[in-house]
Amino acid sequence: MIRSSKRSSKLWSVIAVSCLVAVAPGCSSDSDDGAKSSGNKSENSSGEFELDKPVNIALLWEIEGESTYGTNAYNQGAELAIEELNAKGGVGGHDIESFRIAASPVDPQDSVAALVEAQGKNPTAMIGMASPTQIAAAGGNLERSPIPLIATSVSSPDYVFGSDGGHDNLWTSGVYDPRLASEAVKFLVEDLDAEKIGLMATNEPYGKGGVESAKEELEKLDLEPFASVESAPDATDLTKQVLEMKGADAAFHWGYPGPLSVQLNQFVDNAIDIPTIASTSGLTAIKTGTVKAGAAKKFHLSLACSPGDPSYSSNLEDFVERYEEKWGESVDLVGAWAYDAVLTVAAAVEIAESADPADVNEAISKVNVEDGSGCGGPVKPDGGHVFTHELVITKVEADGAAEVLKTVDTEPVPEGG
Amino acid sequence: MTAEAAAADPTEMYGCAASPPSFRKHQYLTLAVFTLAIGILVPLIVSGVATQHRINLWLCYSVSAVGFYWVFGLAGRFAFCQTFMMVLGGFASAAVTRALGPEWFLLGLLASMLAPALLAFLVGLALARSKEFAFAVGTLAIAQIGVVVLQQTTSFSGPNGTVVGVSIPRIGSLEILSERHTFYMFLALLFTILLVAVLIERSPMARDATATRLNLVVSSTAGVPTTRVPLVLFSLGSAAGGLAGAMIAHWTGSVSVESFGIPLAIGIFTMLILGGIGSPWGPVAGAAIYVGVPLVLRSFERWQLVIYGILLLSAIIAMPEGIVGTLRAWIVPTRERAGPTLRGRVSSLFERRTEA
Amino acid sequence: MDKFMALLVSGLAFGAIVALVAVGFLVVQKASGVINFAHGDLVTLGTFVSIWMIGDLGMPILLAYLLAMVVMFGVGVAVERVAYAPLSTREPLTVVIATLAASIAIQGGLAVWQGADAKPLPSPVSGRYVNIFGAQVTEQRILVIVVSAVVIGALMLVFQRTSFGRQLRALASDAETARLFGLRTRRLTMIAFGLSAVLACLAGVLAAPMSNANLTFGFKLMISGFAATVIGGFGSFGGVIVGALAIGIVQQLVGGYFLINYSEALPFIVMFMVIVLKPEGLFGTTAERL
Repeated sequence: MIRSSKRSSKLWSVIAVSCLVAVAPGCSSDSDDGAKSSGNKSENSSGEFELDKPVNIALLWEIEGESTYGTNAYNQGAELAIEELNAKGGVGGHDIESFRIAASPVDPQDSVAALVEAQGKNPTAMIGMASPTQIAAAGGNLERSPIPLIATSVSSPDYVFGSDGGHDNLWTSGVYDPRLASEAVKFLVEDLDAEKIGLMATNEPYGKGGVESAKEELEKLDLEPFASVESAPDATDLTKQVLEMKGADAAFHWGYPGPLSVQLNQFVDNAIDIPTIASTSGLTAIKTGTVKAGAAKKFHLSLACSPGDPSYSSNLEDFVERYEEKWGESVDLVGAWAYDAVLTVAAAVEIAESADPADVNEAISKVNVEDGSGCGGPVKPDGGHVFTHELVITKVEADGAAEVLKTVDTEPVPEGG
Repeated sequence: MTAEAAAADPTEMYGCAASPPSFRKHQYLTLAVFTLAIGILVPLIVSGVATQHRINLWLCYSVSAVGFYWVFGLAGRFAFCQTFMMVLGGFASAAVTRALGPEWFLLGLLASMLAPALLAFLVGLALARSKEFAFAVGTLAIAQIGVVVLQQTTSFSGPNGTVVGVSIPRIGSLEILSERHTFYMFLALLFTILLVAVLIERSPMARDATATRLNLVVSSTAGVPTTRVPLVLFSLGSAAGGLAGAMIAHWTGSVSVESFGIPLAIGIFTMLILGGIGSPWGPVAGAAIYVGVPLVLRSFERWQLVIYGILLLSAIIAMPEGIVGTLRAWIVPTRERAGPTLRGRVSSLFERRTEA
Repeated sequence: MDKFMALLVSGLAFGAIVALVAVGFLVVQKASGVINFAHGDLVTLGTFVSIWMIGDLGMPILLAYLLAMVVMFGVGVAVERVAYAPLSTREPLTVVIATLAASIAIQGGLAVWQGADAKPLPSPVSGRYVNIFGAQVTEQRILVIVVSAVVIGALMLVFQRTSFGRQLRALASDAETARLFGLRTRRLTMIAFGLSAVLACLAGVLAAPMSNANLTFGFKLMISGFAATVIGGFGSFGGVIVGALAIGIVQQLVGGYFLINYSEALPFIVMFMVIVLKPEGLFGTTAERL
């Protein structure tokens, strides 16, 4: 008798919990859905608008040591921008404020948690997230709040505005990656007279996306890829991939810095003497000193801008000087993107005359920073939510010396890429 | 029951005596109290959306870690593919909702459990004869091969091994969008998984698994199904992993091969060890620590990783039975603690030397 | 033919490195019964110590290599003292997790000390090539194969012919009995950890000049080392060496000719097949011998 009542009490507790859990969603309040910032303006005596609270920017990236992938470049670029803007009196009568939350590029769940935490603090805008995986993972949560996120990375078809992964409040401060890739291929074919072009990539979204764009461009030029090979992002031996490039006129390599420098070194090791073109990773590969002296004799990069040879742009020249004075080290391109992202937020707040995230998000599309940008070119967001459209083809040496060979003004990216 | 008596009565060792030790009593009640407490207290205490998000992440990881507990804690099989099962579950569910529409979310969840369970069944069958380290490395191999295959196929796992725009969870006409709604759904799912865990703990299967783990040869001669039991637990555990992957996929709107890498694989392992390997509550506690510790360590900035390593090391030295195991040692008198402990449970896992 | 030779030498060199890593962590496993998950990070650490000595202290390359190995012997002993000795009476699993924790701490410390970027390690034969059947091959690869063969050969001699080797084998086959017979097992275990760290360092300084060193480079080699050990049967040196060479050659030759975009998965496919078809490994024996 006692036994059966015991059992039934257990049963009841199970049923009770099931009911609670089943009905709970229906009866909970919606109080946690991103409180609205007031950020109202009021005109001051001089006619300039005044915000009732400062612009606050969330910075979402790691610094050195927080994980094995941390780098200080993003933070230094953003801090420089904030410092300079505040020296000029800030925005809306207040100094710009910022806070940083570490978002691991290799742990998307952690990144999303960082993003949500930032959203919870209700900043004016968020800047950060460098890897495509992070941006993809962040997507769902951008829907839940109007706060804009400016990704400090190149834009990709995976999350350009209008694509499946795109969002109303997701922007990218870099160039549209397919443009970088297709201009890279054009350069090899038109300027270096290459016909047999071997494609190399790391087998992750960035590398594979670049190769897709390169293949499309080759098709437009009526050419077939000479070979197309992939490697792991942490590959340390590319002998087999490199040997596939024997007989090609030029190599196109889209991927992580590690395999890129291994490829360049192993071209020399295997007596392959052809030009290579890569993108932003090439700068990192060179900066780390992992490319041997003789291995970068024919190394080209297709970039959003070239801090290594800023002579083509007075804006960039200025920025490089200020950055080096402040931090005592050379500019990393991603630092310039972080800088531009901060400038854009400030400009958008001025246009909106409000620090309300939704207003700022709307105003970002009207921003047009002609002068003083970090990456040199004008910052003018387009239909695909991409900020910059100027790109450069440079030639770099193993010691970091760069020479800009040509600059290309690409078309704005339409909605949907 | 004294230690001598326990030794004299081998059935007690396997936990199948007439009266279970006290920590095994009231399991349904404990589960009910836990779920009610979390379900009521969290909405009362937590107001920030960020904290709510971390709690939801804790629930997801708990589901996967409880699954891993079945594989590793109960069956004593050191599988290195739990995070791959999560990826697979995420892709499977995303594929179902993409093909049939977001209203088929629940079917997606079912698929997210079936696909990993099937794979685990086949892998477990193939590796049935392999022991200890070989099983660990064999499952690691499956995870590595699987990742490469997913990266190369686009129809199932999206271009470049990433699927974005995964539909928001939907049950009937109810879209589960906010973090708070997500919390209730995840709690319900964790409750279900823990209910299964309790059922398993009380079933003959748990006894068979313990027997198989402790002494394979004796168990098989005694008629214990020594192949079937670990196989079933491996499949069930992988199904839970797949479910957790699908939860994360629909919640964050995307799933990528890269989302569940080696750091998380080590993480799930750490959850089990920190929380305690002796009961399904261990991984739930461990997952809470795994999600919470980075917040505490944040002020250490670049020293985080070093301090995390040192803390982990200290915790292992100070609490070899994990948090739940240590708490239990305080609460439950020693003589009643005849249940599973880390000692003996896996002692032969890495040590072949003693077998010779 | 030149492509074949280039791939073959590359596969052999990679296999040789994997063999060194596998033998290194097998020494600890035999002496203590523990799988040291920090072994890969010891490879990385040894490499970065060498890079630091050459780059920042300006030491000659070979001297830096040697000193780094001396330092790593100390580090190995320290790992034994910190992560193994306090736990030696506990279950092996606890110690395994402790080594995992040590691995996380080492990686974190390295990131603070050396930063996250990949770094190059100079070699005495940098930029020198030989021609083998029409294939240009770096001397580094030849050096890797020769040094690994000599070192592993010497180790086998030490384990078979010297008193130290016999003691270690006794410890490996039955620790309790070894202790009863008066072996100083504590000292032996410390030496085994130290020796293992030296081998890790050697593998690192040999491998890094062929590519570059980053913070996860050792971990990846360790995973391949695990595979080699399992293929070889977790027992004899010979089995491990065959396993390691099989991994290198399959990855390079099969990967180079047929399934280039799947080549990362190839060693794992081989390993899985071996585990399924012959769970005790290709050369698995019941006798526990080094």
